[in-house]
Amino acid sequence: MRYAKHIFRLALLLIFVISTIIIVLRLFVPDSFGKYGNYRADNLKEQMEIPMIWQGTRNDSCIVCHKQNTNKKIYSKHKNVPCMNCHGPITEHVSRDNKKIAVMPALKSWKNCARCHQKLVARAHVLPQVDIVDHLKDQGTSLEENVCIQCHNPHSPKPE
Amino acid sequence: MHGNEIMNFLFPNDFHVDWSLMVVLYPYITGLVAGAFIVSSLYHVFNRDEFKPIARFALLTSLAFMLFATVPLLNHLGHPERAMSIIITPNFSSAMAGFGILYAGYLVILIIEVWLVYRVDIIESARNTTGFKRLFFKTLALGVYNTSKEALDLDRKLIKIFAAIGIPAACMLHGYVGFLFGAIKANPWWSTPLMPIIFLFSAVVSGIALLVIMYQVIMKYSGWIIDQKCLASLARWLWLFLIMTVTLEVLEIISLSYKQAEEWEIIKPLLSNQLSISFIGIQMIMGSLIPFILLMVVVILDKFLHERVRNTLTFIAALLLMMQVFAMRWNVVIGGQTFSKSMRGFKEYIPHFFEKEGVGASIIIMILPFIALTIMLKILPTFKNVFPVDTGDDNKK
Amino acid sequence: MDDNKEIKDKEKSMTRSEFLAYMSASFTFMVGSSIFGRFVTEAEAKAAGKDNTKVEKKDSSGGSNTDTKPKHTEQDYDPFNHAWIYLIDTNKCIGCGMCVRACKIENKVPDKFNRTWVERYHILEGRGALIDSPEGGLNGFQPESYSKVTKTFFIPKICNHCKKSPCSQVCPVGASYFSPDQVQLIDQKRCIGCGYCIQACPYSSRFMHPDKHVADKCFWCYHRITKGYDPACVHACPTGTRKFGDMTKPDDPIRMIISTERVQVLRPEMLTIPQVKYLGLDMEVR
Repeated sequence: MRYAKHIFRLALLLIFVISTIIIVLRLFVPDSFGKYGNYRADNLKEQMEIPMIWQGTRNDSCIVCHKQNTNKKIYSKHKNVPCMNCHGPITEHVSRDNKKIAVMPALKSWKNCARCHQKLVARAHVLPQVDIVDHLKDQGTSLEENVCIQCHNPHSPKPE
Repeated sequence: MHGNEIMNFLFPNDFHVDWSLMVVLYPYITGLVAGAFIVSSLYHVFNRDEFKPIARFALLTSLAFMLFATVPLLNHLGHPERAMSIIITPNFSSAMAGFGILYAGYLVILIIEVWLVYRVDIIESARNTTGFKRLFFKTLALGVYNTSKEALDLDRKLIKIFAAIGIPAACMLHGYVGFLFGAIKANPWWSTPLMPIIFLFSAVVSGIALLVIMYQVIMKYSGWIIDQKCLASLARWLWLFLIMTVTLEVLEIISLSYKQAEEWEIIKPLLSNQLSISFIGIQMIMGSLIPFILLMVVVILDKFLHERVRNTLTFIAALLLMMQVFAMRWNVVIGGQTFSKSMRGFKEYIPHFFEKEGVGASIIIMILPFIALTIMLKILPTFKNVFPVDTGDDNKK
Repeated sequence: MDDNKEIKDKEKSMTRSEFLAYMSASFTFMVGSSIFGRFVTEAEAKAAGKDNTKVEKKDSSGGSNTDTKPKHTEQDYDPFNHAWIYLIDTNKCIGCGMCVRACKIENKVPDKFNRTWVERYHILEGRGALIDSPEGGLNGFQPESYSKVTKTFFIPKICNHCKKSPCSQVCPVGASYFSPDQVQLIDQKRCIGCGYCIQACPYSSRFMHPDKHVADKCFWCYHRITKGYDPACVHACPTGTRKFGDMTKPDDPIRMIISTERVQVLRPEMLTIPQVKYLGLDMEVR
């Protein structure tokens, strides 16, 4: 078999290269890979640790400091609207250890009201809605940024 | 679904074509790899002796393109530095996970085959050179200078075995690319079991066409004589594979349109608007019909044509077919993404020149294999036919 | 090995929900026809001027106004004890787009892309559907007037977290996976950004993150639900359209709705077994 020397050398070289590659690649497999399935189990933990920005509970955290407005809202027509829908992200207002860090951003524009109350064909008719342009014409005002909240208190929109 | 005459809605996330020109290039390059390899196998395995002048060159072409097949993909990946994950932690439920194994396996087969075919030439070069060059060739020859008859016989057997393994490997490598698209049930334009077969046949077409062009160009430049038997045979095979490819491509469209299933609602406007130029104009008429006629003339009127006329006709047909296969890749990859998954709207894709995945990058990537091929031709004497591979099987014919 | 056993036990206990999912997939056409019938009566009711079908009682199950402390905390969270489920009651959707905004803020979703979005359908008489979703409904919807509209409604959409998901099936590196608590997650530290999952998703829920260059999609706010809160979109919904529940809790209201009412999924012919169930879908919705 002397004439096959070059083939043996080739085979040896091939085995050496392939086994080296396999061994090196095994070193790079992440620790928790395959713990639960064909993925990195640590990623579950990483995803859990992402901090929340949007508020967690509906009213509980607000009522601690803002008793009046929260209580008003809870019994108004807007009881199901979470505070965060008009007030900016809570993390900009309160720090993690419940200290006020900045003024709560609030959306006072008519555009935010129009999201729900602009008259649309597709919108359920039980929801109070107006054609904003017509409504303002009826009230004799013009379209300004915070025109809605001049008459309607968002925390208690309809006087009862 | 029912009488949709208004089609203008795209899903909000679906305005962007994610698989760009790079993903068009990748199946194009692997197609050339598979096609060129099959030509060399026609000689090494199936004893088509008319391909002897081109068999070695086909093998080298295959290797040159294979070396750069991953470049467009790496350029396309969002995180190319993590690309090795595909073999570190493969997810075998994914068709793409087989990529690393298929690619590496085929590359090994190809390198061994090239090495066996050129071994005698490498040894010769090692003997005739000195210094650094000698060291290089000696390393290439793995330090063994054995060119005895037994060794050559063994080589010949192994070449045959590796070429035989290489055929299914090449089919897998490229059929797998078709499968990547054909297995996406969310996309009606891709989702067909015919896809791998269409990809395979068009790969062979592009491979043969590339060899026709390169062979003629190199012969012209070097002042060597074109082997007419070889070229005529290439033209015949090219014609055969063209017919099969186009039949399959048309068959798919016809069956879709005849079934009038849900998919046809979106594919009909896709073909008549978005792909009207690239599919009907370029792929079907310019890329299929005209080369079909040209090659038919070459094949049927073989004896009546002057050599130069025949060579020129084959050359033009091959050029058009290179374009046809590219258009086919484009129509599949980009065409499948120009409509939204809502099946109700279309988006545009025009690649820019100076873009990460643009036209400029594509041109550079397409030039790289040719540079590699030039270097390889410098090192390995391809057209000298020093190595008597054919002797063993000639008398059987 | 123990983990595998645990998963298997889990699967055994989940046969009920899987059964329901299969039922919903296979009976869609039946359910579809019945829902369609419901829509016709609804349109008639609207025409008659007494439109009480859509938003009945706002606080029926969606937003209770006295949310208490979270049910569990991050520390005692065990993914094997939960099987999350999402329900969208399209009859209640008013298209305010607050969910889209909440998602944008909570998950820092890049511009132009949406992890969740709201579509508005105008079904035109004999002419198919006219659909719009400006910026995914981020800023609500503008009034439109089309002639011959027979019915019109909003459809909120989100990643369906399919049990037999085409997306995690095709991920070559195991970056996209189905977690033990039945959420489709993406390990964005392993994602190579090939985009195959984006092609495979029939709902177009996935997108390529323009800055991170990895696939991105809705995770049902995994960082919130594991702390015991609702996903941001569910929290922001003022009408109770979006509901979030746990199929492993016997007294879960969402589980009760899914197991007693006729629910549908999007594109059932794909057999992906979505975990987002819909009430009141139309056949034009895809």
